Amino acid sequence: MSLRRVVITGLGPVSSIGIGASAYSEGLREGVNGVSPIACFDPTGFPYIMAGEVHAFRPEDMVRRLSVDEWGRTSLFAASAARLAVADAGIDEDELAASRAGSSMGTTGGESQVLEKLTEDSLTAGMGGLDAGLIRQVSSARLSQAVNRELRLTGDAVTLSTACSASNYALGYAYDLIRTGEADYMIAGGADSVGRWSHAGFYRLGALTEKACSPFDANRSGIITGEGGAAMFLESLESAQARGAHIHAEVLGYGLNCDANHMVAPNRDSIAECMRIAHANAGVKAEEVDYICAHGTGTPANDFVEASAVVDVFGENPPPISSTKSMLGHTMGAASGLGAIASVLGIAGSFLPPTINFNTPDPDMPKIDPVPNKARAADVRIAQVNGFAFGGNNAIVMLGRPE
Amino acid sequence: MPETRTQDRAADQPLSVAGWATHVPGLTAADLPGSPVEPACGPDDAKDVLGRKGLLGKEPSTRLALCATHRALGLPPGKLTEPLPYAPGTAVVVASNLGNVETVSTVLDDMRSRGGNVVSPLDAPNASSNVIASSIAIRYGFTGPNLAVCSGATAGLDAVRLARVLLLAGRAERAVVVGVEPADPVARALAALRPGDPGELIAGAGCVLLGRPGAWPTDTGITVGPVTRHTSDPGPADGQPAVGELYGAAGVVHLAAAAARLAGGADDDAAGLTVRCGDADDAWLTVDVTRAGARREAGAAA
Repeated sequence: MSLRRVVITGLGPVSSIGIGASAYSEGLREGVNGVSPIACFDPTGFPYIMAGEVHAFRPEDMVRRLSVDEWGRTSLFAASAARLAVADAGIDEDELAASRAGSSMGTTGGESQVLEKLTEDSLTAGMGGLDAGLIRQVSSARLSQAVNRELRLTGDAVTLSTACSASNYALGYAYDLIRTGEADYMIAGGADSVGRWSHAGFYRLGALTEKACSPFDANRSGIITGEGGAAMFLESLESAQARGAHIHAEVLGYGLNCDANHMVAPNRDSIAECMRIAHANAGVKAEEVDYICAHGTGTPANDFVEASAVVDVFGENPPPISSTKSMLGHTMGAASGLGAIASVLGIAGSFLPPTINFNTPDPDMPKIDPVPNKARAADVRIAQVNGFAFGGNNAIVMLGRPE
Repeated sequence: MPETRTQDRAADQPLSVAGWATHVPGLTAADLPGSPVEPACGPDDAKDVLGRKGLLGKEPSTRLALCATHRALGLPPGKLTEPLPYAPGTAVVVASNLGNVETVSTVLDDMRSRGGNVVSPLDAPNASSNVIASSIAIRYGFTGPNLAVCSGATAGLDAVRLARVLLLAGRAERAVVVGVEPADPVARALAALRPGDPGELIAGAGCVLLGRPGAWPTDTGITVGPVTRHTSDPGPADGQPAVGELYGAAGVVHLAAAAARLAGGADDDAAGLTVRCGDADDAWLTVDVTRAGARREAGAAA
């Protein structure tokens, strides 16, 4: 029984610091801050008014088959990101549509803006006043369906709702399908939209910060909600070689586990164990890892626990660990996908994305190198992408330079 | 003609079916292979299979799923007296479209008419669609991946396919796959909205134990191949018993019945059977079940 090697040949980031691989790469290298005053809803009355919105997102310019009036913002993020990934992969669209190809996408809130609009309408106009067209848009399953419809894919259309680690789950599932030969091409990633509920919810949890997300900093005080779409094009190594595709990176393996402990508090031992599971699955030793793309939310609890777990696994001199959330805010279901794409770009372009807004090392935290404020040139052969979610759903993906 | 398909891809590998049970209330092994000799009990009498403890607040679909699992594991009636060997690391994949709709509907009605205080804390977990899979895991100690699938008429064989991916990718050595639907008024009303004329929904469950070769203690000689998707009706399956409309449970129930048929010699000539589920809206899935060492008869795959 032969398991196939799985590679990433297409990247599709739709983010507040750049849309498309080259713009996103530039944004990461420059350490651009994608956080701005909220525009998608009126934040009057909220004490904090910042979010990582993708103001430049014009779905009508990106999708070709979907009618933008019939799909919610999150599905359009997913479909647009998939479009970019397929274009980057350079595969013929008709050939792709005729292949065993599908998508797996992760999300936290799904079509949260649609749901908010319907809730508002139900309160003002009653149940009878709801727009049937909007009701059709609610289901989170539509994220992957949007990708498949846009690209005419007839294989899997799976949407995973494992919250803030969902993109890593989706990437892992796609990897397994290709590795076992169950599918030949997969689009994997995730999407979410900024909305009133997540802003209010995280504020009430005490997890929101006012102006800037500053992971690993002594004065870090929480997340900034963000949005976007992430998609990666996956195929087997033989397939990529046969069609002469440019291979950005190899998916070496992944690990999943669940704290089964607390709804919101991360668990140090369980996160460390998840790293070990991922390393074992990828056949990688801890000392071979060159870079960790952190979950790095910027909350006091997450960053302390994450840094501690890293030291538990890697020892006193762990590899550099930076957080893209410092630039993007917390893009929820897209977060680990955008982290994975950042890591792939780091592997391909030999640089480490920075943790911006970093001023003061935290004396209470184990000593780590957060790549403060400026991207750094570095040889990245193996990268680890961390994703942790409410409920203790940990998912870690290992990526490598194609050998 | 023997099969000549090359099996270099992991996805094509056959996997062992180490146990099975069908549990459709009222049916016997004469009606549906894999059923008990006496008519299968309904959810209210699940204690006859599972023992009295631990059933408080469990919905009908969870009870039927537990009955099928208990019997597929070959356990004597009653609560487990000692930990089940082979439970650690075992995956659970459950297919059910309507398992929790009555609870969700009741909770919403109660909240609307009488407020949140009247919602029973015992009902709260039942409102979550993964309650069946997690209840099975908790009762038997299955600590592997735990999934619930609600993908419509193909859910049963979607669950089999997901279990195969977990096993072939090395995420688990063993998987308990269950398909179950209830037949309460809410579930029946929703099932009646399906296109065509699917027939009235009946309650029932099926369970198969899948594994990599040697992963379970028993070698039944029965294997299951890859799941194939069809966008047009693939035609009738091999003597799939017409027991009623099982919707998301159908794929697993009929797979369990086919395994029982092949193992029991109920159909001496058949060395393999094709199981199917699906409808015009959700497409169709088929899977081949084979008895080891036996040659496939030409045309048996239909």
